[in-house]
Amino acid sequence: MGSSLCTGGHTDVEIALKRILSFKDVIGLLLIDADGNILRSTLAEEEEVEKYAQEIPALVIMSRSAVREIDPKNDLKMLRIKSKKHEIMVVVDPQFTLMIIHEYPGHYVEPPPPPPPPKDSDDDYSD
Amino acid sequence: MTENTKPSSTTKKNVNSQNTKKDEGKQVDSTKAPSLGDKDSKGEKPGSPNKLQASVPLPTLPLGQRESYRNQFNLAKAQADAAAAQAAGGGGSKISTLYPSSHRQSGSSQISFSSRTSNRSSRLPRSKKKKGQDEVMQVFNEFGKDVTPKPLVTLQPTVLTDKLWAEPGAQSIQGSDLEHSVPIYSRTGFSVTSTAGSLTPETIDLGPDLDIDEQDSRKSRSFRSSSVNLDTTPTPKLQVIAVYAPIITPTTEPELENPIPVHITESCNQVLLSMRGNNLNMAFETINQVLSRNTHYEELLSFKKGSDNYQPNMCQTLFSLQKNKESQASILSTQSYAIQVNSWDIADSVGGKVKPDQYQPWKVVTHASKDTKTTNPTTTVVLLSELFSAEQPSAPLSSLPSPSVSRRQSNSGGGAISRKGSMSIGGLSRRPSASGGQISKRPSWSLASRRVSTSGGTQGLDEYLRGASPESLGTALGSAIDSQVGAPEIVKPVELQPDLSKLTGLFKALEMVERAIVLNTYHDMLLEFCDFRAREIIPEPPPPVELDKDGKPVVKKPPTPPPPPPPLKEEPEQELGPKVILPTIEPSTQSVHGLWNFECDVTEGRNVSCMAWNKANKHLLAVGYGQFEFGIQKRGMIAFWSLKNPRYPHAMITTKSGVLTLDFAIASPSLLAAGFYSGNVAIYDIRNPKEGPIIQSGFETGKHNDPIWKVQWVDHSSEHGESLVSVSTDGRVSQWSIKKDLEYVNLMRLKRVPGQNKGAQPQPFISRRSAGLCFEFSPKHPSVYLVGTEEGPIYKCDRSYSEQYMQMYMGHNGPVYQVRWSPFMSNLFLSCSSDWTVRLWNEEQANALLVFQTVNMGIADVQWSLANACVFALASTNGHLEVWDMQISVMKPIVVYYIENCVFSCLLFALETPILLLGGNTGSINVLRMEGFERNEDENVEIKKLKDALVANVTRHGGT
Repeated sequence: MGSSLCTGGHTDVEIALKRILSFKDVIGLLLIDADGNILRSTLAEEEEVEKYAQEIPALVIMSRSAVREIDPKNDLKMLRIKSKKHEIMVVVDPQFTLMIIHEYPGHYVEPPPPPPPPKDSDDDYSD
Repeated sequence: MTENTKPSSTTKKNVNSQNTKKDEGKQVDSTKAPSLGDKDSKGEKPGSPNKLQASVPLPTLPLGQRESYRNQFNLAKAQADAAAAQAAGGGGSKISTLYPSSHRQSGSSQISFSSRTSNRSSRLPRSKKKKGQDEVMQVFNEFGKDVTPKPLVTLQPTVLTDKLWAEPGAQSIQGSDLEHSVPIYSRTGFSVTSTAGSLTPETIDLGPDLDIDEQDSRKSRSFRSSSVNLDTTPTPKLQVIAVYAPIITPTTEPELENPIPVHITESCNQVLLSMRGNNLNMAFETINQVLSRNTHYEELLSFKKGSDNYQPNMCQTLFSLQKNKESQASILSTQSYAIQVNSWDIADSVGGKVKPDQYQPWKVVTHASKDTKTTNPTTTVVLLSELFSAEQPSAPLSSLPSPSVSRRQSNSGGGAISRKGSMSIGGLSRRPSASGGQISKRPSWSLASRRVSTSGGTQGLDEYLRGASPESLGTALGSAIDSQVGAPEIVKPVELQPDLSKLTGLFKALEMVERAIVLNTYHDMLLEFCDFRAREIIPEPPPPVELDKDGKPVVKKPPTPPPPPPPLKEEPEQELGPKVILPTIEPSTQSVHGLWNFECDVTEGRNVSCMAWNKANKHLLAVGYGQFEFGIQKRGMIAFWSLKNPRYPHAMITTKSGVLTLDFAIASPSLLAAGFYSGNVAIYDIRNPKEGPIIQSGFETGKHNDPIWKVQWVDHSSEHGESLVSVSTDGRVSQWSIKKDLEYVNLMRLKRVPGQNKGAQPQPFISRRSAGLCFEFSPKHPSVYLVGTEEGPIYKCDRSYSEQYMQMYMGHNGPVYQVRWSPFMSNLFLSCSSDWTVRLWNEEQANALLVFQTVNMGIADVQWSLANACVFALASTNGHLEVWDMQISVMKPIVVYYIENCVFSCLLFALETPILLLGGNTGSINVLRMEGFERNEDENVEIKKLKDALVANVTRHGGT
């Protein structure tokens, strides 16, 4: 993984972080460690950060439990929550939880793609 | 018998030396002998031959003491005999009381034995004359029976500090108090292993006023042992005190002076212990036998000394001595913990995944009890970690229990909490034992209650659960969490300060997220890429909008009958153009539009020199970056682009020299061969792209002297599997085999051939060498390959013949950049050259079948479509992409795609979908979607199409 252009894993991570944040439809990134400390946050409002840091890990635990209950050898890796406004992607790791709030294009971009894009996501937020 | 027999000199000496324990020890030895000697015959050790008849056991002495006195026994015997003789004359008391010399000052030791009066007769003289003597005590009951308590344990004298004995008067108290003092001293003065209640003869320090108190205490207890050392540490010496005295109460001083006759009458002997001794008296009957046996034994011993038959040796006895050892241990305490886990928790534990010292970010605890299961079928989750430590007191949650509730529950030591019926914790039972104070000191417990009580309205449940978790999880996990519980902090978001490098999985997570984001964005384009269209039968006319920068929109050229001919046409083919086929094809269905570009900041400005699909993962594209020109060489790069992330390469390899060509191996798809501008060949394992090439050519093993323009894996099934073939401008076509190193064999050294065209007379060559630019092995005959040269001719070679060409194809006037065999008809191939033309050749014919030319620039690459036999695409160095369909026209491309200011260098069709990749000097790879080029599943139909097209277009030309 990673490019050999980069000197080490650390800068790899930084570069990847920067790249992700450079995507214009990424609203925010939130990285909390296993203790709940917020390591990195690009969300502007602190209240919002708190809310995310509170609510999402609880959901992660529930989903992980569900996954593991079904198959104890299985484990949760990622959680994608498509909401009406955006998509929250949660990557679960024993050491940290990475959340990214992504305003996915189907929500606001209509014209460019030939097939109407929001078709597949209709089901998700219709209920 | 009275104590007057004691020598007074000993007494004086004892008084002088009584202050130090050392002196006392010595003196005990010296004074003990007479004490034993003075004993009544009943107290004699039965081992002595002359006392065998009086087989009354000694009162049990401490073992060490007894042994130390054994050597003095002879002396004691003599004295005892004398005493017995003397006692025989006496009357009064039945049993003599013997007080050996004691170094006591007051001589106040007293034994009172169920009689009302004190045995004044013995006590009084003792107090005067027998000061400082040890006593051995013996107790008899009314019937004269020896009831001296046997020591249950061996008393070993230990060193007592003088402090304990500093105030002996304090201990001289009433008899009732004396009872209490016994165990106290037994604990301090001796290492006693029995409990305090055992009846052990004690050595007690009594005060000097015991004499007075003795009067009161004599009725109190039948047994009171007292061997008193005043002002000194107690000695463990016991003295036999036989007490049974007539009641004589001297009241006046003269009476005291009077000798008191004591009559000792013989009572019936009671044998408590009878042991036969080893020592025999000379008067014994069998003495002679014994003596003779002894002498015989000595003779035997002396005989042994010089003999060879005997040898001193050591052996171990069968049974070693057994020792009783006692050790001290704390009182056992029991605690019981309860933990409830679910199936995957158990799976983790059994699988050894969980290390107790490793912090676990989550822990799920479920109720195992049935009733809870039935009422709460959902999994109950208990958060044990501090995932929520970012909570703030200003954000109370109404659904959580109030702090008072949680505090009460935590103080109650467990119990089930249920939150909305879904969260609960298993009941914990905690049973502290006698040493339960230990538990109450546990920081986690107290901390838990404290935190819960002070946690305001926030997350009381979580607080509680966090606090209670150590108890429910046992000590191992608990200790891990304790440390975290102890650090309650509210974390503010910190920008860029925490070191992210410790999070080892972060990079992968970011990669995953990035792919997810990108897939969100590129979803539709990827659908197009994969040619996946649900429910859409006819594609709508593509919008003219193109994503590419400065790109002209799709140029659609309807196949019109004879168009204005291109200005430069070498061979007139105008008349062939509108033959038969045109009307059958709908005009406007074919087009090309861009989807996205594989580009990123790293690749910007580099020249895309080559592209190769991975043979196994059809969505992995290896792209080589390197400059073609000599003057502007810089470091090269190989990037691996995946469809999963079109925005950033999956991995990158930087190389010292520019990469000119790449090819994936067929059999082992992870091997990637690269040819460099420096002439080197390297093979990478793309599973570990960072580790550099796994094998590499060099000066030692040989390398090309000039840039390598093409490498290709060739599978010769018969021989060593796959091998790599490369071509370079140094004229060599080399086959590399992976053995210990990359070793090469020259398949061909390209040489110039005198021009055959037009029969012109050959011109002298400056160099006989020819420079190879491209080659391709025939898909049909694995040993046949074509080599395109810089001079223009194309040679067909065979690996079996390294000296001569099988066929020469003359026609190109400039360097031949690529030759491509047709995937459908194996005798056809295309070649492109910098002479602005693309030519179609038949393997059998030296001259080109067809010549395609529209643009006025060199053609960098040409590719057959993998789906349509008649379709090929070419990329020119002035930014034109042309797609030709020979079925429609051999005069004009059916689609032209133009990007300004771009020098295309390579071209690649996707393997299965109508996708065209176009690489140029801008560093970006244009992914183009071709519309109207549906794959025809029937290969024969395609071949037939191609044949028809050839027949229609070539025959006349071929005839000329």
